Amino acid sequence: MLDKGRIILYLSAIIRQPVRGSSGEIVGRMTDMVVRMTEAETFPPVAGLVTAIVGRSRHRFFIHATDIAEISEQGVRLKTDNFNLAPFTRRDSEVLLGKDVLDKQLVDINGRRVIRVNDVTLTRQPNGAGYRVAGVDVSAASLVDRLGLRRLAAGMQREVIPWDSVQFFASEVPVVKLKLSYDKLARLHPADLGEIIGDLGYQQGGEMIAALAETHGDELAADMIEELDAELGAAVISAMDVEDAADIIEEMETDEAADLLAELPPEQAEDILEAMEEEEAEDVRELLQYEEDTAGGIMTNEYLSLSPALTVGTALARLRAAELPEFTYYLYILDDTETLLGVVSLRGLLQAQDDQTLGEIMIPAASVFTAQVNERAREVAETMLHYDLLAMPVLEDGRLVGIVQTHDALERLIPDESQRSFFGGAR
Amino acid sequence: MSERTPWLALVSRRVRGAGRRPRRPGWLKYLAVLGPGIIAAAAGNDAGGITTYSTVGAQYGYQLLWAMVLITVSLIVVQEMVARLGAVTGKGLSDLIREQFGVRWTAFAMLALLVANAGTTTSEFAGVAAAMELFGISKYISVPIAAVMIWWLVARGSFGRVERLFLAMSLIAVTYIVSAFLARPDWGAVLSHTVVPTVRWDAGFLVMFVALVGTTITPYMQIYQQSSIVEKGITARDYGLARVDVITGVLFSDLVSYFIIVATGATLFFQGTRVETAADAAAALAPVAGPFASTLFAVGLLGASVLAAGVLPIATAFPICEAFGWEAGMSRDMADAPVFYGIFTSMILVSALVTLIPGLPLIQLQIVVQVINGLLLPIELVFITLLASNHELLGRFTNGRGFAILAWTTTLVVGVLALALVVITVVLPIFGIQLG
Repeated sequence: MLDKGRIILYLSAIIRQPVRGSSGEIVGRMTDMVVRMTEAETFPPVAGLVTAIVGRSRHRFFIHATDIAEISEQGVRLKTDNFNLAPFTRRDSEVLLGKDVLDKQLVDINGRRVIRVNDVTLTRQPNGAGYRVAGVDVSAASLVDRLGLRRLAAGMQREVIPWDSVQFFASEVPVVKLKLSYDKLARLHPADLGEIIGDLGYQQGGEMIAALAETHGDELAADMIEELDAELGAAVISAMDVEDAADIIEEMETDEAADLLAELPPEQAEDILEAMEEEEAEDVRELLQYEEDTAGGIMTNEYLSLSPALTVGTALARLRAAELPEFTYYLYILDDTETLLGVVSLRGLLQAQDDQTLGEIMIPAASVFTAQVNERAREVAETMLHYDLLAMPVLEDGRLVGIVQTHDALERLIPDESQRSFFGGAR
Repeated sequence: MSERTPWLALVSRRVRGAGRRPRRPGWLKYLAVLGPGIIAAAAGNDAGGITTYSTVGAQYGYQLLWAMVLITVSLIVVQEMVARLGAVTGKGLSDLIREQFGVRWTAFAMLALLVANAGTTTSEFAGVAAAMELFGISKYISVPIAAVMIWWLVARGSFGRVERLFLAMSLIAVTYIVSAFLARPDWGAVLSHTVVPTVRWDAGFLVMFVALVGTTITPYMQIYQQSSIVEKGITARDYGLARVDVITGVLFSDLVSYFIIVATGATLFFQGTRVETAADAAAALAPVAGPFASTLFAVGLLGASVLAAGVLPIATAFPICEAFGWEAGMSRDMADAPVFYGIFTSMILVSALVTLIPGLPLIQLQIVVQVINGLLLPIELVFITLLASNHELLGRFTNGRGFAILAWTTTLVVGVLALALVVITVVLPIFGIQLG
């Protein structure tokens, strides 16, 4: 769409340059450039110029793109000498390149990172079709250039990222309505998106997650929030509408959801729980009652439980039809009072005969490592590490209330990167 | 369970790499998670702070106590603004300066920050040197060791693990409150000087006033405060609690500062001692610690100095890199984040080297640094006040009219003070005029 040989204009070089009418007389100075951003435009077209009248620097008027003959570093030349001097007002879908894009943060999709816009590049369309945004310059050269050291900048390498691989945020322009596509972001792994949200802050993060939830489903949004730490996740959630927040939290694993809600002010957490489906909310509430640093605080209450009288064949058929939790490797065999009788591994299940009952093939509870609900989280983690356990059932008065999974336990032993490097030597 | 499974191979994708939930790439993770208020308290009473308050007390007795009251109000106003900016926008101060004022103003603001922080770091190493000299250890030994240790801890991202130790040591400054009472000051005089301003238009007085402002409203504290609000995920909704934390932090910090002046005023001023060495300053703790005053003082000073010397390079390199969009953080290696490593390494190196200049008077050096901070402070205050008054940015959290007046008054007074000092100490002498 934009061929590479075309003349590239830098926004910083043309902003504040004089605007001349067709007669050559200076009518004003360009103070900013208006582009239209919609879901359909990959490279936003220039809609016009904001211009300050000579001698009345506070008065701004709008010059429509169709009146522009040429834009160059020497200034703007127009096709006409007649303009409407009515004061400039902003309209929906319109973004000011200088005010809203320059110096702001965007996401570089291919580089999976947050970048800062040091300059914006523009190209001219063939056949008088006007100008469009081509990309953003993120190089140090453009910084040096804008500091006024043009000679120095000329010898430095530029780095321009094309506009079709960056993501701009509507929240940078709160004064107008802006409908943007966030599809590009969905190409990134939730873990990378999580890190990007960390760089952007909760406002843009909230916008990004809400938009992706709408177009790509709450599940993706939930995955992204699970990648944030609970404090930032809570901030992002609190920037969103309660109903949207509730829909996303329903899709999260219950233990993650509980960790996140625990970070919110109680009334706000309550509002979200009220808005959630009753069953999901109940599971989360159950987890919220346990202390953070105990087995109860790190366990999840989503696990597979079956009765001992079932045959292997029936069990397999049920599993195929069921909506499965994240952790499926162990099936927990419970009696009517939810007392743990034993454990069947997926492997054991697959290799057993169809007509055997689960009670026959299970590892009895007495030889299974279990934790008490108020046991210290760190001790649970150490036990799991020592005995190479994938998951550990958590009991309260003999009843099964949840399971601790390896990744939750691991988090207790290596809470963050900085501590890991302290224990583990070189990074 | 009987199966032995190599558990790492089987767990979900999330466990691989950085652990399950990668922490945000923000920079405060390199420091321990403490209330910003407590850190504020400690940083307000860093090496430069203790030295300045001691010198003020020794030289002018209680005469500048009223200034502490006004400075405290100003500090609350300033810290409240940055906390609000952080909570509402979710962005750091340097980010906002870049986004709202463009490249040139950002370069100017960041240069001011770099100079102020490099100076403050120098005063922290001077603090380390002074403290260790009280134990009879030469600065040529203590400063290089401290510099290497701090660089190592910062570069490895492990400073947060030792932070509490130095914080605890620095809290020894609280004993000044006890010492002030035991010294039986004339409370009537203390009270009247707290309420009734004494103003003298001589250079020495003005220098101490600006140093007092510069060390209490330390420029890096604003950057630190805002980032900690952002990284703790505090939002516009739960901002109310953060405001309480900010105000308590400032009050606690300045209460200690106030009593350092009272304690030194009640002891050194009346003995006619000038603070020329750390040992002189330590004598103000004699009422509470007797013969151990010097040891107590040295331990407190060492803790405060190392704490701030570790925080400062982080609180400089991160905001500068964030403002210009350069890679930052200890999770990147040196080749990926050359500017980041360059800034904090050269800050530690240069500061330590300056401290090692033979014959450099450590106490005076620290006062000079606080004066420079005081001179640079108005620059940062203008940016902060403009940002906090920007309705497009903060919406209903924008400075109200009354608050705006208070904020601009603070900025103006600090600016006028800085200007007056420059005029009296630099411009007038050129014309052969000498005041005081």
